[in-house]
Amino acid sequence: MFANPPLDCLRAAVVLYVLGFAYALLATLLGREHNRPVFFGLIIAGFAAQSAGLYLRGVQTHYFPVTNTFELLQALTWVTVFLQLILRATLGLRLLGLFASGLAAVLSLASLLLPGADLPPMVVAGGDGNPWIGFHVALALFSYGVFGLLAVTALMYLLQRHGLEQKRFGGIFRLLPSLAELDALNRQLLLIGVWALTFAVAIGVLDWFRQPGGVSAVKLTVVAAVWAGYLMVGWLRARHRLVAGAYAWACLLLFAFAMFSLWPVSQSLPSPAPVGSFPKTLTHS
Amino acid sequence: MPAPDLFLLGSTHRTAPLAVRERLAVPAARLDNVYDLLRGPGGLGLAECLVLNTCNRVELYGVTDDIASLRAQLIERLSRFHLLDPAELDRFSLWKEHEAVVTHVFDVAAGLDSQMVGETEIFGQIKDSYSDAARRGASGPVLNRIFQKSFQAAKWARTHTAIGRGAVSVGSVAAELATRIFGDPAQSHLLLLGAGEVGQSALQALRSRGAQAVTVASRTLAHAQELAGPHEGAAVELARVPALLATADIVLCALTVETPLLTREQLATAAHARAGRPLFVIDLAVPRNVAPDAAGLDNVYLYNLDDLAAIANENLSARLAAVELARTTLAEKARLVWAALSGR
Repeated sequence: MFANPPLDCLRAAVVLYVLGFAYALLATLLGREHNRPVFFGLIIAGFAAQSAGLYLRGVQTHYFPVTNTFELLQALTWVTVFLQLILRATLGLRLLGLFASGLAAVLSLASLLLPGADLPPMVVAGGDGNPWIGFHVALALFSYGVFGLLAVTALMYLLQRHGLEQKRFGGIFRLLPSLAELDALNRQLLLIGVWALTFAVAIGVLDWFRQPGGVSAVKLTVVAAVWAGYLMVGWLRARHRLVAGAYAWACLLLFAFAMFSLWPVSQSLPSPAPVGSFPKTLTHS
Repeated sequence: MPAPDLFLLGSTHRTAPLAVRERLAVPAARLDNVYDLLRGPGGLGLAECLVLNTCNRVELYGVTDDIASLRAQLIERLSRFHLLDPAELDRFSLWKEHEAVVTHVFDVAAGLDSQMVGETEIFGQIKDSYSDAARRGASGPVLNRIFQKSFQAAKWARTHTAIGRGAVSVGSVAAELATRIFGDPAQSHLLLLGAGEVGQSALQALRSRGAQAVTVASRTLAHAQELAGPHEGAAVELARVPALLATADIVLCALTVETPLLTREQLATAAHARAGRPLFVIDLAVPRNVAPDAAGLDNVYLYNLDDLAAIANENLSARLAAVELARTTLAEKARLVWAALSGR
């Protein structure tokens, strides 16, 4: 019945995320507060299924499961959901769960629907067990998850701003957090994401010096562009040159660029190794 | 079990003008006298009773052994107590019995019978009145059950209908908008220009939400100090206002002017100096204090009296639309409570 347990778990997670998002969205559009136990029950069940799926995938393939676009999007979804559950518990921001679950639904659905996303696992020759590479991958994923959540809160900021400018009072505008809360959170998320990605890039660069040719030029360029983009936005924000709506738009568009950049990054990875070979590590960032 | 002889004699904003309600109001110092009148030695000997006294209603709830003759006796006693003509008291009163009393209590607790439909203050007032009656030993099993069920009914109405949603006064709309922009108004700095009544009302609404730092500007310093005093705020002359825009988060404009006081350029300069913090300008004056072309400035949220009134009216319409649903459901809940009390 369950021919591929890891994939089945990941598919179940997608269904639960989509159901959770659809339920909360419908309630909000109808002008009602969604039932929190129901909503978070669906999201947490999806998170549990996804955690199981990623773990089983890793056991099945002997790799940290970020070896292709499908796995990258799944892992990114996992980080985003994890972060939003923490933020929801600590900050209690209204509607953050709704919007973050929307991002989780979109990313995880994309992982299933993008043609060729779930290619056979990639292998990089010369796996020498460098533990820093695993740390580099985890940091990079974490930073992208933070940027994903930043895109969500930036979207919420823009919606609230739109409602205030258009003098809309009811519906979702009544439920959104204040501009001040969202702006403060946006700044904090950008800071966290930039620091995490900076460390990840630094580790990747050091490994590249150690092993030139282990990372493709396409990937280096794309990742550097994403990192530089967020760094620039952070600097401009700190100097009060990029504020309010413009800052929120920048965060949203940068994340869209980061997402689109996942495709050329995964396309630039080497061809799969024969079945039975056992690489120790992957050089991803 | 026979149905209890439950009654209500009251006077509300629906049955009596303010002048009459003022005479019927029961000050705290005379509440003991009213309870004595209802059930004390020499009183009417009611088995249970409760007095609800607010600015919009005075209502006496009770359970008696002889409801047939009670109304006349009650009117006669109360008219002597309030020094009113019995016929006048009777004319401005409402009288209900049995299940209708339960329905009325539910409606009142939910704010359906209030002047401002859906207001929540009445819920606290009913709870206080019930606590007081219980403390006196005046309420009993019938009133205890009815009022406790009314609290549940009120909570249901607030949770499941729109009767309490949205602000319905200009001041509370302004306060809600400030909350949408700044989150906690306690952290915001208010700048009030002028002494208009609507401006004072908006300021009061913001202060009630926690706003503390207030600066008042007027044509003369003395007048500004007079206005700022009750709010423990600072006072400045109008000439200083442009410089203060960079630090004020909420600007309430209520000056009487012939031409706008605040220009687009002044607000644009202030917005730039605020380093990304939004500026909320509420122009409550007619003629307007803020130049109309200031609308659309980035990070400046400009609302005039028409905008606030439109939002308040929209919210009120939504509340009124929800009233029928709430009334129907609460009537059914009241019917079930009455059936249980009557042993059916």
